[in-house]
Amino acid sequence: MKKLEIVKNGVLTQNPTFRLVLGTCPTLAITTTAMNGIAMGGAVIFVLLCSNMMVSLLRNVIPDKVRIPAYVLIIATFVTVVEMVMRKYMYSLYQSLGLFLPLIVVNCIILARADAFASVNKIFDSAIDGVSMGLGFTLSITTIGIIREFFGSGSFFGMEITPLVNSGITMTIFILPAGGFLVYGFMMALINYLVGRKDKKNSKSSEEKEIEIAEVNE
Amino acid sequence: MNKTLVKDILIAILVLGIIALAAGGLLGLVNSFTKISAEEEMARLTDKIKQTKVYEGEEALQKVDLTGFDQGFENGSIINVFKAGDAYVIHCTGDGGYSSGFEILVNITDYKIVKIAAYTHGETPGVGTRAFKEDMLSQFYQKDLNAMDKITGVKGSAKEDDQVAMVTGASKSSTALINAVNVAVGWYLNNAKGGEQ
Repeated sequence: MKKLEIVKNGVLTQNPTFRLVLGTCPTLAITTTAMNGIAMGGAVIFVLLCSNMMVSLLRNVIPDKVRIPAYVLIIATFVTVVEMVMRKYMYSLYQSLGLFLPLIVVNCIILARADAFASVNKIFDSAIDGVSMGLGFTLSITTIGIIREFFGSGSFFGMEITPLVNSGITMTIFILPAGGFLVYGFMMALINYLVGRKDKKNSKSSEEKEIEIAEVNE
Repeated sequence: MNKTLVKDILIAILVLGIIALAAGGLLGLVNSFTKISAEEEMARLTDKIKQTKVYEGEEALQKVDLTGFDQGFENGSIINVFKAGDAYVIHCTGDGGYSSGFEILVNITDYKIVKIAAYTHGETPGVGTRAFKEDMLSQFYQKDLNAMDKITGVKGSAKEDDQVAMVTGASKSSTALINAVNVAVGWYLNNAKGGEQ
């Protein structure tokens, strides 16, 4: 598989949040601020990169029957590493991510990539896949975080936008769970519409080409 | 039993065992770098106290050793107590809110509540957090704790000295706050005795 295609897959066409609808739990829970999105995304990128590389490295050693427990063991190790490092050096982020940090262990994106991609691909490709899937996740949750923080708290990455707050048009619903679902839903609809339109265009142009070739052959 | 099956099982155990061993080793190594010492923990707590402006005195806060003190409270618990002269900063939790992990810091000096601040809480932003606004918190300030053993929350306006008015629409968060303050007051009255432990 081409390297560029792997990156494009992770960030856009198979975006874990909007296209594959994986990792929904942290997406809804921690996106009340944009900074939370970046921190969570960073943690997921690290875990995805390390676990994908490790799974790919051990893909010929791990027996098929115990592959899932082995993957979970590998993922849990890296999640614990992230947790320890964040508790030491980024304590306030560690506190705001709370329970969702250890819950990365059961994040479907990571297990899905380990099982579907890393276990059948080479280490370098797996590393690229891990980073691009992680980037896709980070971009998605940070975008949701920016929207929810902007409309809900009237701030951007923690910086208060005074005119917005003073005008009183901030809407608390955006930082409540219901607002999370709303923003997530609208974003998903938009991304699917855009990607779907592009796919249609591509398939149309390839159909036209086929017709042209058929006409020439006739 | 089939020989190949036994072999498969043994290989699976071996592989999982080796991965677990390596994982344990890695975690041990990372832990040796990221371990948080008691001093660091204390520095974090005092930083938080400074940020929330619960205690602004000159004298440095000292952690009170809680062993041997009465800590049995119905609606919450004591986490830490700091002392500087007559001032006590009590870090405690209160039950009854929407979320677990409702922690506050209460500064009680000379039988009076001087300042209260939220430490961590998961109450609904904009709704439950109204219970932490200064007009709610200031109701507790300067109450004479010699004359009462607990503070009760009432709907509407407070009439008695030992009452505070709950925030309309945030009664669960208000209850948790009042419970937490009562834990602090209870500990103070039972154990601190106005600065003479």
